[in-house]
Amino acid sequence: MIDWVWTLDNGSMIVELTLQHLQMVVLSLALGSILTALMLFLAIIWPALSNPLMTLSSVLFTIPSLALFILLLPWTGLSITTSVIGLTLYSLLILLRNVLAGMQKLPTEVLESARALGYTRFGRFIDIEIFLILPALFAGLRIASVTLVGLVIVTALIGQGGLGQLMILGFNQNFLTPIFISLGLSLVLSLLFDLIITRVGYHLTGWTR
Amino acid sequence: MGVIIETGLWFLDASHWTGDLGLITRLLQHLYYVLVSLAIAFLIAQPLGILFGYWKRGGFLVINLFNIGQAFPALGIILLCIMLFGFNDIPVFIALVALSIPPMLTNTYVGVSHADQTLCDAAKAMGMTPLQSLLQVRIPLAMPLIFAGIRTALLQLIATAVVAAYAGLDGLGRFLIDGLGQRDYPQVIAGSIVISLLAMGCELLMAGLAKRWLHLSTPAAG
Amino acid sequence: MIRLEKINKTYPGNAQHAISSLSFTINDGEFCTFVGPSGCGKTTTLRMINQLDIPDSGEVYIQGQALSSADIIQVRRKIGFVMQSPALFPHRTVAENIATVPRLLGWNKRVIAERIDELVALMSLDPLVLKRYPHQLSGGQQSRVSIARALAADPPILLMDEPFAAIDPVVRDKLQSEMLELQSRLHKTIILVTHDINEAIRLGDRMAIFQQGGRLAQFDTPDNILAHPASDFVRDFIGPEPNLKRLGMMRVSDLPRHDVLLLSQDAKPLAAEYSLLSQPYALVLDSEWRPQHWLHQGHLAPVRIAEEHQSLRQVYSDLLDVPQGVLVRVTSTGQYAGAIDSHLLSNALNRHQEFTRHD
Repeated sequence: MIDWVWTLDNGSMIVELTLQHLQMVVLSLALGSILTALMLFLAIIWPALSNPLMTLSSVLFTIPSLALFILLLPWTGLSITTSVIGLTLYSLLILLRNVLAGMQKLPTEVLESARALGYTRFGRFIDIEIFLILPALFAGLRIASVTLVGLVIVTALIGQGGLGQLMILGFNQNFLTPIFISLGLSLVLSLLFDLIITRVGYHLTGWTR
Repeated sequence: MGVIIETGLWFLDASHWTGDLGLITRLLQHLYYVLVSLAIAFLIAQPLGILFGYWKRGGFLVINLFNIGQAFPALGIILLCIMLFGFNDIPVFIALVALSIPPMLTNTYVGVSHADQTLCDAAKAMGMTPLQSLLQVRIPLAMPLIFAGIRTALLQLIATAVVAAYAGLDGLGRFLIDGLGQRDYPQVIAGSIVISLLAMGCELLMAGLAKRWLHLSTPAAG
Repeated sequence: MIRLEKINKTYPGNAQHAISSLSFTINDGEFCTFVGPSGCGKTTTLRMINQLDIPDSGEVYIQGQALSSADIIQVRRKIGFVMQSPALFPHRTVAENIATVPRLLGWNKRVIAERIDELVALMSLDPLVLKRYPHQLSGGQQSRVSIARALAADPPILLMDEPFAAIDPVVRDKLQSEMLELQSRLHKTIILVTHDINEAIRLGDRMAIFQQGGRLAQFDTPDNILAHPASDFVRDFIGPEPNLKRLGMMRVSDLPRHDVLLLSQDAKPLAAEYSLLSQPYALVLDSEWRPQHWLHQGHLAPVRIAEEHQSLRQVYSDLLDVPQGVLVRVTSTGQYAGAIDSHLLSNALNRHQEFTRHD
């Protein structure tokens, strides 16, 4: 089923596409995380913002990825910017949803006793809330990274790089190998991200064990 | 900016709405693929999920199936199916059904297996047969999760059917793929708008149903 | 000194459970308990003292300073607060939890470490738990850590909101005893909210009984309240057998010394210094003045002892076991120190009343 000869011959292209794929995921995750932190901060200053934000992100999340990417077209055209913005938006949506849910699940008596002991609002955030949200954040990062690996494939339809290109190549040439390769590699990437993020999260949340 | 105006004009052109290539037809085609796949997947996933959940077996398998299903890019599966089984509807349906089974199966399994044990015991103590307690207690208790699974599967299907247009499927995705090919951006954007509205509309519908029938508002699962 | 002046508070949507025009004063070094049925406003009143809840009108004064115009963050750092749930920070070790307020106040690291050691000893904690995380501790240990955390910066005021409610009775009893001992050493101003009348009676120097609507039904020493309940509500609330409860608050050491007829082991009468209890038995003591047995017309009877620290309620119960109706007091070394009968107990109840009325 898989033409290994072809695979070896085109090894450098495959590697390049994989790296491109990886880059897009990492970049979007990073940007998404920063934006999430900002949104979280806003949600803390204005707690009334938290629910509308949840609803908005849930609604936006239902839009099929390709449509979302395309809706950005008028502003960013068919460039890599469109993909990155779209991917960042998706990671923001996933991370924000998880982090906000984590916020709402924070143990209120712990926060109350912090308040009673004499913490300022900001102090509470830095010293306590951030740490207690970490598990939710990492759960979100896991989901986001795996989702993004799949979404980058879709960006191939608007001409971007990544393993999606292999799929299109295979389809156009009626050749199964690239499709299997890209499926396999995206699976591997997903697993890698999942594993690494889980490890890091495990180390950072020592108190839950 | 100009492209937005052009998109608006595209919508105003009546010929874009009617006929074989029009919005209405494509919308109906899209719904056809989505709803038929959903129904078939439903008929496979729900009984399996209920059985596995009731016997509390195979949880490991089910959960991992879900994770793997999430990790596989839908586009790849569809292209694969078409290339393996040919250029018609059947492979596409196979792919769509296969992709929408995991969310429903997993959610139903988790819902049924984690139904409040004290309530199930109460049912047993009252003298209900296993079947009665399953139908009257367990499944109703699991409804929120079961419903969330259907919701997720539905939205996933809408999105996947869009992408499947690349493989030649009809439906709303055609506007995107054809438009991209023809560099007809107003068409592409118009199609995206309609797809987004369809997705958001379905989500709101499901949310409303959840609130009404289940007396609660769960966020979309997955 | 903590003073509440004409405090009013309504809860949105719950008009009948408001607090209206509440005023009272708590003195420095006093252990004050707030009791009352649920919804009476005792917890809200407590929480208004460190401004976790804000009164609609009226003022709270701490050492003369009005809370509404104070820097509440600084005020809170000087008030210890313990809740029903230990509410320890799950992501911090026990030591880090205890060090919370000293860190906020900018104490030197070495001083903090020393203070932690002090508190570990004070709260009877095993030093090994310092490096552990809260979820690895038992409920009783978590409660102790929670109190240690509240006391860390040595605040003059300690507020406790039903701190022992979720603890099992055996541990609770122990913690209550530890609390009393703590107070005898530290002399802080403590306010403890509880729904358990017996806990309030046991712990408080003064007890504030709250009624629905945040009204103070009575605010006095437990003994005064038990002896002279101000209303039917209070009478019902303090529960049955108030005299037994009062006896429970007194110790053998509170009783005046009375003697019985004393004989040495070779039947020689011994001098008794204090007035004798009227009963026919004579007590035989050995050469070390330790009680051996009762003797009456050649008939021997075993001796039942009362130790100085025992509660009079315990004594009353023991007296019912003893045919002679007399218990023998002993010192910590087991030597004769007097005798007790039930007449003495009822005198003590009445005299106790007299004493406190002249306060």
